[in-house]
Amino acid sequence: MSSHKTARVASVLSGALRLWEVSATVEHADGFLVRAPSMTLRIAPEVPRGWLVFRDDHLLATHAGLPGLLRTLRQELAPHAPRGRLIIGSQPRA
Amino acid sequence: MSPVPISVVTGFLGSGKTTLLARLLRDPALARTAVIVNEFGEVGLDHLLLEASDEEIVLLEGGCLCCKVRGDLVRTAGELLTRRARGDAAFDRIVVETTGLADPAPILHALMTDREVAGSLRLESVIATVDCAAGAATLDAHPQSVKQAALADRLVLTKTDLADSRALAERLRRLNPAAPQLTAVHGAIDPSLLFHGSPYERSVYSDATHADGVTTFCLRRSEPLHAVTLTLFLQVLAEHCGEKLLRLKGLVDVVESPGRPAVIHGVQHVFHPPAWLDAWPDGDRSTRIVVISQGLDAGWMQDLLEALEDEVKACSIS
Repeated sequence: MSSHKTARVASVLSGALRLWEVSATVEHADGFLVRAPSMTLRIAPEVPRGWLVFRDDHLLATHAGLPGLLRTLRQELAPHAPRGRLIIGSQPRA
Repeated sequence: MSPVPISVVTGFLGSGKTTLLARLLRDPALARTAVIVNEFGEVGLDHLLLEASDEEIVLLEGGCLCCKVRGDLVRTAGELLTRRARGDAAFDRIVVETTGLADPAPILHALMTDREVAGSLRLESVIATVDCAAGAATLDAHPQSVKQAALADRLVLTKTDLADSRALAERLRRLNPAAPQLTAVHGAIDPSLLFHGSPYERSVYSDATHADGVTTFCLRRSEPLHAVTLTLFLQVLAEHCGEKLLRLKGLVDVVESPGRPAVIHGVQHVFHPPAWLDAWPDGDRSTRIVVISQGLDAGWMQDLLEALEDEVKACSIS
């Protein structure tokens, strides 16, 4: 992943932490280290694509993309943050 | 049968909703309009101030649409549609007048998602009246009035004959820059400014604004997005942003649909199915997504959109 894309993912992770009001930092480390007072999570890129999430070298989850990765981070770091669900309204009847 | 357009008139107590509607219903252009009036008091009065044939005005009493009588709204709209289909009621449009205390979001959710009526209705416009005499104080004191103005497609300034509207107009422009501001003196206004035209055509502005805790900004992208990126983007927003996302609407250039932009439109976590235009409405072919929020960060949202597209592209290439 290019440094530009890595920085963008880091920005997405940091922004999500702020959104959930979690006090944590995101560091680049062959992937990312998310350091919160309660735990440190390591996020490693999976070849050819996707993400692995570790806590204390224990594999917590694998995800194909950011939506799943964000879900795992929220469950671990902000389990009480409100969680919504996308609802698509009805299609107009023909 | 094509969906019936439905509009919601909201605005704080005493801001002129009923006066506006009473005047509008006298206009021949709105002769075929059914009205659903929600009143909060024990005895409803507002419906008596609206002149139209009885069967075209329905009163919902005993509670507020956004909390107590939302089911009644859907049921009433369904009954109106049934009568129309039977030929017992002749109307081309439904207008819902909310109570002054209503949060418009759950009302819009009900109209967009209810299994019985949503497929037969097309949300046309959300109109918020704001009283120039008391509007500033109301915005200061009542967060609900801020939400009403922030969610509106059109803002109607009332009582402009009683007070200077300039400061309030500027405050509302920062609160909801995508909504055109109109003026109604004693309810007089051209109905075509309220009910016709697509709300998406005005989703074009560049300045991020902030007022009354509401942040509005426009995400832009010159390259087309994959359709699945758009779905994932909305999914992430709905899952994590909660009530901080007030409204999102936009035109999206989609890779799989060249020359035919998708119109997206959502209230909090509830979205209409994307509609596809036959062509771009203007010379600007870029994706434009207007976000009205309480505290969401424009840079984060733009990065999220780009990062999701990066991932989808990587899957498409390999």
